[in-house]
Amino acid sequence: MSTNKNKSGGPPSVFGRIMDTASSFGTTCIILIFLMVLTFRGTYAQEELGLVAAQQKYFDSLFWMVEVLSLRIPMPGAFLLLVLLAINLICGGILRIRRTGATLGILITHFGMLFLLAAGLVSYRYSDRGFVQFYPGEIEDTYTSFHLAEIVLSEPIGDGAVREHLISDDGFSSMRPGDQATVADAELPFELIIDRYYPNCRPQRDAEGELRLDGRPFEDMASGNISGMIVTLQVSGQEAQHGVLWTGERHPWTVDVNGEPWTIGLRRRVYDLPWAVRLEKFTKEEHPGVSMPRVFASDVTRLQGDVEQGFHIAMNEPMRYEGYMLSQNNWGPQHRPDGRLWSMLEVSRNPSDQWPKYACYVIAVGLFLHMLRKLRLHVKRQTKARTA
Amino acid sequence: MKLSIRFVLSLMFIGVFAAAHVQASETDATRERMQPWPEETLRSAELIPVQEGGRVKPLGTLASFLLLRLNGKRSVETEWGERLTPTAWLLDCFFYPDQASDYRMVQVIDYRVLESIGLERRGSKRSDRYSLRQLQPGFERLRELGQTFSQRDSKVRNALETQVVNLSRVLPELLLVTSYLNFARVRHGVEGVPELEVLFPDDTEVSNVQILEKFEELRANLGNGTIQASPGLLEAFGEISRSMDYSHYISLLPPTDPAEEEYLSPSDVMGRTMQLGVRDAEQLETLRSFEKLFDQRDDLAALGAGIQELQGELAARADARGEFKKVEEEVAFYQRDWFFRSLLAFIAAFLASVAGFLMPRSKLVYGTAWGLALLGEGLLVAGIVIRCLLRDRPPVTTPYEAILFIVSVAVLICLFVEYTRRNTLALGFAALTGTLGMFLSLWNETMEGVDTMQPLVAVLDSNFWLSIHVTSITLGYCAGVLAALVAHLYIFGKLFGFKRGNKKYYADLSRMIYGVLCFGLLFSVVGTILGGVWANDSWGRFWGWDPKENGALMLCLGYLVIMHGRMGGYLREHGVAVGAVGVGLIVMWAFWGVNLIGVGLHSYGFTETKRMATQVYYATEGGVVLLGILAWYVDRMRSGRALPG
Repeated sequence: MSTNKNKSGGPPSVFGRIMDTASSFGTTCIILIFLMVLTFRGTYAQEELGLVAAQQKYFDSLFWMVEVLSLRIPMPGAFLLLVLLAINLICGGILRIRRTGATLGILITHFGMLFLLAAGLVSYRYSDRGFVQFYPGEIEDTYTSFHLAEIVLSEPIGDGAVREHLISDDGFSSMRPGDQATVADAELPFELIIDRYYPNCRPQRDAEGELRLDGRPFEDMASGNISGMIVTLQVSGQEAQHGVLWTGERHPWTVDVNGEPWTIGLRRRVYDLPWAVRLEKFTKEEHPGVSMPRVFASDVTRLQGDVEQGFHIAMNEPMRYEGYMLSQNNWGPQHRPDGRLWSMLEVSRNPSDQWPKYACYVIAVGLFLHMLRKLRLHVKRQTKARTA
Repeated sequence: MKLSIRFVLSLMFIGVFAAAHVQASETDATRERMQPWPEETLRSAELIPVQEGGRVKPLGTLASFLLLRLNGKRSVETEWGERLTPTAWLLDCFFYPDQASDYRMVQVIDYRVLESIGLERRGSKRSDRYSLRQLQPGFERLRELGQTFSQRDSKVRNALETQVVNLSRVLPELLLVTSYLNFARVRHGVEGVPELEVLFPDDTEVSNVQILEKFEELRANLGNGTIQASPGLLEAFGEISRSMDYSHYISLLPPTDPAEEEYLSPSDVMGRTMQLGVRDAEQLETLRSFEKLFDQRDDLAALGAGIQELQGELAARADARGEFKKVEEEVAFYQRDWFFRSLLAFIAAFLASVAGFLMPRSKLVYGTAWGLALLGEGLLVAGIVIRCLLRDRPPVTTPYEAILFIVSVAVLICLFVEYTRRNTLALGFAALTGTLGMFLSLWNETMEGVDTMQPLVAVLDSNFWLSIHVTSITLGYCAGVLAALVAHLYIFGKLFGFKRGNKKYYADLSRMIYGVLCFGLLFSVVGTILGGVWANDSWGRFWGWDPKENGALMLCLGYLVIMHGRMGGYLREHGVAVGAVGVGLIVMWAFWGVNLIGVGLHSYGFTETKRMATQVYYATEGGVVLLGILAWYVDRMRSGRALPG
């Protein structure tokens, strides 16, 4: 990481100065120290906020706010710091580093680190995770998100059939109390105004029999969260209709839209699998005499057209197929462990699924080469010093 | 889960059975066993296979850890000066419960625990040992307080409350072992009990097992429940039921059905016979052997021979299931006491190294230090390898094993450095690391007081990932600890002016710290990423910002800050040393500290006993970092150099 000099001997150009800063060891150290502070803070915040909320606040964000004497000071979030680290790595660790035999190991390591950061970015941007839960003999061809929600607007199209309009939670998941969001689309004959969104709540009826939502802190265990919202439906020429939606509701809210019975519901986001999966058998074993799990395993069959392909999924032994990974996640009902059990498989679709493994190989080779070289030099020096 | 069930049961036992012991407390203690247990009897008893905590182990191991929980050490001193091994103590509990109830072997760390349960301390010591009989009047209060305090979050419980909870958890175990063979000592008079008179016309009294052996006939005679049983028979049934409450504690009867995995306790066998109508003649015959043993307790030689015979029978049954070989190997492992011997060798090596500093030209002293350090390392590595073979596992599956592994690698690194540098310094560090590390492992084992060879939960049950991820990350921790240790010598040396002016000495130390940090970086980074790859296979995501993952990340970041700070010229010799102490702090946080936060998926290895030790470590090492900065300042002032800025 050398200093940029102007060829004419004058002061370095603006670009040169930027490169100097971006590639300097000082920048590296500052970023790493910020990352350390952030990791430390974010870890303890989990005690108070829970894993998911702390992760969103500190690790998925560009900035987070720290309050000092009633002043709100923005601090860099992990996302921003990792982007800066990648820039620093490219500028200093790849472009500006002296490329000699002595730095070969470091160069390889830096490439590995960049690959790892890229894997993280791809995963962050393009992956999704959810679950399927089924009893032996049942078939599933969709999976449900752990945390993300969506609004389902069902339009009647005759003969009892409906057309679904899906509204993802991108527009409302980060709403604060007092905020409003409006769902409007040329295809929709109405506007849906979200007056309040609760990532986790419990529906309750008050003394007058009115349904209301009691907000609760977001829980890490996805099954513990019920998302809910208070909405207003505005159809032109009609009086506003007010409703309450929540995930897990058995019957969606039915509204009158110009004489047509539309239904509006809130559910966990559902994704299609490119094939179906049938659970053949679920195995749960405990170590003898104690309630300590020894084996959880699901034998499943992948069904696609005429093709049937068997897989054994156990802890640490996921099924990987066409960019999807199915791993053993849970079982139940836990209060009836000797009865008929369902198996929950986690489904993740992640284009960079295996990249960290390859990055790890690259980094290991780079660091090992560098260490070996340093060790050889050290031993040589010591031997020389002793014989001198 | 298991622990909490056991705890609830334990609390129930304190309440229900305290009354049963009141009478015993009112009688004077007597010495029932007048001679020591014969060696061969102890050896046999130790080899009795039992199933506990999900695995088959020797009775000796069970006794050893139970004693550790109760007494804080693996021996008991009797009033008459006899020193009992764990197995000898357990046999006393089984066959001479009145005598065992008088052994002062329940460690009460703070006398205020006694006061809180309405008892007075013995003498003026803060910490002392008490007998079961001495503690018995406080059982009821202990049960109440234990229940109350255990419902509080462990983070807000004070030390005294924690001790009350701990005592309320371990004391019931002592109650259970001293009453374990109650089923074998009870006899029922036949006369006046018409149902028994019909079945046992030639006997005046019968045992529990005799009744159970004829239970089907007895039930048939009672018209399968349609005829009212006599009061005498009802009383006998009550007695059997009560003895079942105690005899569930240890499962030492290998199942006769090869398809079954769970060993049975006497309580299970009696319960199956009475409640399920399943009469297992072989198991009942074994219970009969216990009754015969109890009858022989006045003749120690005969009792010993009986125990040996019973052990032979149980061992043969376990062997037929392929479960006895490991039991024998485990007994041999503990008898050889590899780790304690290793500790002794390291202490001796450390003393020899100190002598080496005082006599730098003595090849004999230097050679002796080398030999002893190698001996300590050899014993430690041998112990680790044997544990791996016993468990069919890689060396790092529990925090206890991690300590052993870290120590062995740290010593090995120091010995390698000594081999290349030959300046006695690294040799001294090898011995010091070995000594401190082995003390730490002993402390950890004593504090936890639980079997260190427990089976693994499903998610950890992968020898592949344990071998590559846990081993690498542990090597990363190990390097951090070692670098921090060497950095202490650097900082305190500078602070107190040791070898002042000897730049080479400090440059050597600094190079050593840097080299170890480089080693640590390699294994921490690779280990952390491999952990993510494992998490991806287990939980479907590479990185989840879980506290344990964050701990590993912090360590990698710590290493990287020092490396880049040094390359950029921001940290020199002294800065690297102070940074290394910081890395040591991060290792402690990553290894134990994050477990105390109480959140996350890596919830195995949580322990309350380590909370205080961890906090003391943070405070001390934080102080060393400050001292390091002070030493830098002092060094600058001494050398007359200006401070930056």
